[in-house]
Amino acid sequence: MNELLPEKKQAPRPVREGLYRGGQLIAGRSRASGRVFFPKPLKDFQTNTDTISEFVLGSECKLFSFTTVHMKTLHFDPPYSIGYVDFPEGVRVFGPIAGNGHDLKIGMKLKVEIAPLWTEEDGTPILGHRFVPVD
Amino acid sequence: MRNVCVLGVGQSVFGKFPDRSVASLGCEAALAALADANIEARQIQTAYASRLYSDMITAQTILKDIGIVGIEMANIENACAGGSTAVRQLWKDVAAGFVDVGIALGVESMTTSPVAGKLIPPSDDDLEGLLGMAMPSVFALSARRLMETHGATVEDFALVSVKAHDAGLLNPQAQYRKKFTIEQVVNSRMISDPITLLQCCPNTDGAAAIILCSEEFARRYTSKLIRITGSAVLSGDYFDKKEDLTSFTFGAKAAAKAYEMAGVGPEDLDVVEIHDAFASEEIIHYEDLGLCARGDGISLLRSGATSLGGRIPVNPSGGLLSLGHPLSASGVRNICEITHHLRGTAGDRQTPNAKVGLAQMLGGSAAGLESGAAAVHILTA
Repeated sequence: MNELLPEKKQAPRPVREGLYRGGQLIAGRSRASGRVFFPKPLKDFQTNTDTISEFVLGSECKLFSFTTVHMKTLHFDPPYSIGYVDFPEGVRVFGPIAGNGHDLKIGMKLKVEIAPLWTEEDGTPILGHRFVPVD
Repeated sequence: MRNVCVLGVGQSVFGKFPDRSVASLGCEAALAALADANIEARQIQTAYASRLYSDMITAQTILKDIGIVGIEMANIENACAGGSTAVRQLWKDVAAGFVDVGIALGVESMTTSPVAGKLIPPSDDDLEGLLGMAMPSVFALSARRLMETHGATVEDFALVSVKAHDAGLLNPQAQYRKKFTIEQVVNSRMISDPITLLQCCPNTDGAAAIILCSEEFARRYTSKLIRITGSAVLSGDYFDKKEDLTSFTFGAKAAAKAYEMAGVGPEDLDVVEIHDAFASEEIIHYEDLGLCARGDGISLLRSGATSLGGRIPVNPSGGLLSLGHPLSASGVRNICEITHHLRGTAGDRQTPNAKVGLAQMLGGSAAGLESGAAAVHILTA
């Protein structure tokens, strides 16, 4: 009789806890060195200090490198694009890029968004960051 | 520390053999190495085996079939640098005097692995892997930066593959003994742009084995001593310390350590074997190993200096691109290749009068690290 029951809607969850707040990326800044990290680390291992302050990155970033992948990987069907972006706060972040990848150029502006990237077998949508080209 | 010599080298066939067991591939390589060393299996005092797509006790399951049991054995995983790391562990044991002779093995059955015919991902819970990263893309992202910063072209990347296959044509143990043109490489199926299929190493099953011993032990069996005079394995540094994707900083550091240990510099090298799982990375390794000045990798490639017959041949075996890449075997196999050149037994691909050679491997990808492991060994005749 189970097939007659309405499908249970699963609540979305982030790809990993502690990465996102209010649609933005949670970063850490070392008070000792000023370096910015994403994800926020436990401590600044380069200066061996544990004074990491938490803040959220802005949404604007610039494309540092990219590729369009033409074979399937675990959660993505081809073609899909991925890349590294540089945030003006001083951190480089990896992630998928929305769209067909045709017009990507190093240095172009993108904005970051948190969106459902795939759905688990039990129906749970998984939220992750992705970069969207800005016209 | 004692001098460490290569006494025997061996390789199984490389290719796609889904019906062959890991034990049969490993035994083929180990028996070839024992025969090459002219010693008996019972003389082996310790063994290391490396395998990435693994099962338990790889060394034991292989070596029991050729009469090697009841000695200290350990199994090592370090992605594509696993084989080199197994050699490094054995080198340390012999150098320190714990044993006089031992064997290091690398083996992989890619066609029966969970990644057969697929893009190789980072570990299952790696954040970048979850977000779509795979090994070809790691190198595609760096290739894109080479195009931006070095003026590299897709044709340059294709030239690396053409060069590798030209060399592989001369190696009877290569998986693909076939000549390709730049156009064929550029126009092959796109995998992760700008990397096309023929810029990627194939899926390969195979094994390689090496027997290392003390110099005193070696002198009982040969008058032609091949010493491993430099040996370094390093893990990757934090990714955020990298300015760009056009160098593997820890690869350069591993090379510097090995050069210092061996008392040689890149100008002393006669022959080099490197990790060329994806064609574009070869250009980066030229610069990281000091084969040319920073920024000159493309011109070194285009000059033909790294081709067979050039000033410093790189991957005369055919490299991973043509010879094939059973992941954990390759780091053992490329030290075996350097041994052949220093002995003068490399056949049609022989580097003339080779006295000093370098074998390098790189392995793994993880969010937050520039890569997993870099291994550099320097051999001297």
